[in-house]
Amino acid sequence: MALAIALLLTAAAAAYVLAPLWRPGSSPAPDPEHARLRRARDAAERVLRDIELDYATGKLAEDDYAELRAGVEGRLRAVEPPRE
Amino acid sequence: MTRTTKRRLVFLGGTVAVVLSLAYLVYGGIQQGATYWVTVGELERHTGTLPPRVRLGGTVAPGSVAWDPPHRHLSFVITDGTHRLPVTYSGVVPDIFAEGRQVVVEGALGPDGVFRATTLLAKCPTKYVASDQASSR
Amino acid sequence: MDSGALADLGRFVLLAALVLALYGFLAASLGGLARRPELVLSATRSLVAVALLEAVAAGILLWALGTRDYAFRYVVEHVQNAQPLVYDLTSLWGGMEGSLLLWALVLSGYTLAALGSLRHLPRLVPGVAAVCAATSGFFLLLLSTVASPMETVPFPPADGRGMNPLLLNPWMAIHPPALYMGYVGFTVPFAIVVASLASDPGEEGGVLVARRWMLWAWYCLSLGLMFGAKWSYVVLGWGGYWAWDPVENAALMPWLVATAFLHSVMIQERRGMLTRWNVVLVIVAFGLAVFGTFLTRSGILSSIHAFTQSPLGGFFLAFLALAMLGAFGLAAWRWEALRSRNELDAALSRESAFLLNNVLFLSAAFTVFLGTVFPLLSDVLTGQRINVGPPFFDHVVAPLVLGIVFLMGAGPLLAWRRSKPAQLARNLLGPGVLGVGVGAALLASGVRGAGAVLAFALCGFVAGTILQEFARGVRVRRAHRGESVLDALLGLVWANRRRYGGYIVHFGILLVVCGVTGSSAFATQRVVTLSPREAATVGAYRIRFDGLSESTEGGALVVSARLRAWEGMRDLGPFTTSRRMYLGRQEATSDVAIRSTPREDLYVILAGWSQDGRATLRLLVNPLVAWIWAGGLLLSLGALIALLPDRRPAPAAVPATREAYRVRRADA
Repeated sequence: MALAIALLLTAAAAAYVLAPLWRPGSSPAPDPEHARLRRARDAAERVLRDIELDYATGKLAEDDYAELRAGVEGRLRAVEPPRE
Repeated sequence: MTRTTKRRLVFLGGTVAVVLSLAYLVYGGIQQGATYWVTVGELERHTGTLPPRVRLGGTVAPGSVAWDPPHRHLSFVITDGTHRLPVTYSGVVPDIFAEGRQVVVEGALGPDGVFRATTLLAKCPTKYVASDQASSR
Repeated sequence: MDSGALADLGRFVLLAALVLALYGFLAASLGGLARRPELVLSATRSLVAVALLEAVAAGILLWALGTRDYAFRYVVEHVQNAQPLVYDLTSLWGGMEGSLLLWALVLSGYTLAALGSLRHLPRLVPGVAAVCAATSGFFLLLLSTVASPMETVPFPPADGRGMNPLLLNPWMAIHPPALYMGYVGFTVPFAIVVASLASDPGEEGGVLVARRWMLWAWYCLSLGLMFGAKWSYVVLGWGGYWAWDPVENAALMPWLVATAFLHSVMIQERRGMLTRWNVVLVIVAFGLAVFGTFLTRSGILSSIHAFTQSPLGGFFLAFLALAMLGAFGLAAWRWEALRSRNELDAALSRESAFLLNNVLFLSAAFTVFLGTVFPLLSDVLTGQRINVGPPFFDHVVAPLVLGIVFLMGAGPLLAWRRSKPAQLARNLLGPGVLGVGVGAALLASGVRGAGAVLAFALCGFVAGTILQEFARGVRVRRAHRGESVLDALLGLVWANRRRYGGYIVHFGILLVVCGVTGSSAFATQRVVTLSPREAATVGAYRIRFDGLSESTEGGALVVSARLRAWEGMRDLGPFTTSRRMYLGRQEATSDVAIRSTPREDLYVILAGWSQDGRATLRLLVNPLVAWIWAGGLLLSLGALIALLPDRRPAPAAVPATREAYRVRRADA
């Protein structure tokens, strides 16, 4: 009984694990570009939100705020794809 | 001096300051908390002075335990197999203290050759315990 | 199926899992290097199979435990007929072999979750799969060779030994799983960083992807530490919750490193700095987690409970050495690529506060490490074995903690890049006054002890800064949206989960610090021997001993002391404290009597008794202990809030973006 289960598990595992090798695929897809861009954009948006909150709660002086904000907005523009 | 060099110096200076402060704290801590491990044999035939606080590991010799509950006074003999040393202890005795069990005592050897233990810790018998100690302080 | 066949199946399943894990490691590595996705897919599938096979093995062991099948040696060692079934089942992780199986199973779960989450980063998949497969393989190797849970005994006894009775407690039942979720959890960020270094670290070295996994592992480890402390307090009966025991320290060290990481990663996110440092932290955290597991398993340090001197220690050290060499080697290879974009601008900035935070946390971790391995180190270096006890740790760690607490308050008030001193001073004023006020109030009410007063004053200061943050945030939000205070508060936290979740965690830490300070500095203790009807006082309480009783319960002889307590004139009612003696095992545990109020705990243990009916009692009054548990709960809440993924921010970019993406993809 145990032997039967063992054999069954072995066969199932072998089939499941080795199956992909019979269908060789194309070269691996590179990381989706849009995912990377989105992550960069999300990060920049988060930073912008933080700067706004810091300024609003009085930690950031006016001029520092303007400077930092300009920097982040630059980053945001950089992760937009070029217009065709 | 360029700005980068100045910054590097400050960084280095800060690191040195931190390391020195930490070293100072650690040194002080070792002074306060260090206890030397000795063996029963070493204590039994000691010559010269011993550190004020030592730690001793051994087994409770069978038949040697005397427990006086009202005064919470415990006396027994600790042995490492070949050497024996009488021990007295006043205080709470851990749950797992028993004859034949491994114990660790901390304290000092009295002039009468009896070890006065200030801390008594008993070891769980050989078995994996998922965490933590059974001892009284 | 009889027990022998079941055990054979279990052994087979674990061996098969080992083979599959090794295959997975090879296939993933090869597939990643040769850029063959079918190999990587095969490797991923093999890890799925490994998980299923481990589940089968765990199922077999659970079945054996649940049915009390004493043909299994593991069951004999951890189960007893008189033991409640729930503890029979939780002994799955109560013993060496079972806990290794749990490690492997949790790792498989984490592996599959990690691989699933990396669908949008396929370049990392081969590396993560390879690292997880290798780690799984290590544990499966142990489980198939030196630590098999499937060993049988030739003549099954009628009854087993049962677990150490100290473990028969709900806190001890959940402590290992929480701890393992933490320890094992560090494998994923480690795997991500290693995979990133091996494939293409880019600017961030995989650190930012790994961040949330580190936060989760840190959270689980925090829970594990809390549960362990609670168990120590409630069950072990020595009146404390933390003894700087090597096993405790083993869990604390990765926690300290992870906490440092969680702060320094923010510098990397914001300014692109400290990438190399963060990579090192992730690697070190994993190393400490494996080291912690090793410390808990081997007999290398005589902690108070005997560890079996088993060959496991050697295996662990070898694995640890390999993993660290490999990871640091990769980091060295990629060192130049990880260069930081920016530099520190000003001394008065949030960056420098976080840097200092890291210095303090790493110093604490180093200290704990030093103190833990001191006996070994001194033995090797001087031939004389020297122990350093709690006074060492307390002496060094306490000032570090005070520094950390101060930074908790000052850090959030500093701005990124640079802070104008005038701005900072204005923000510090209110909380500073609060802190000084707390200190003055304590001194005025007769509290003595410079360190303790300073600690409380600092906590007051930090509490002030956190409350100020919440108040100001609510005010800003209400100004923009006109919400009610409650709505604004909830909305504020929800919109800024990481920041305000972090503040809640900080507040929880404050409570823990206050609790630890109160109970360490101001605890009172008395040991008394009383005859029936005699009473003793401790603190503001009067305890009267009413007599001893005996009973038998669950295979143990229980001796109880019946007591009654008064606080001043108030009658607090009767209560008991007992000792349970498990005659079969020759072991005893204490049932501690604890009466907990926010102000203090009254803690009574039955230390001994005599034939003439007298009882020796240990009476303790521990102030503020309840604050520790409350702080833990708050920490938990804050961490969970911070873990929730950030809501997708309202797109500020132009809507035509998606169009442009599609066009671009068609070109590729």
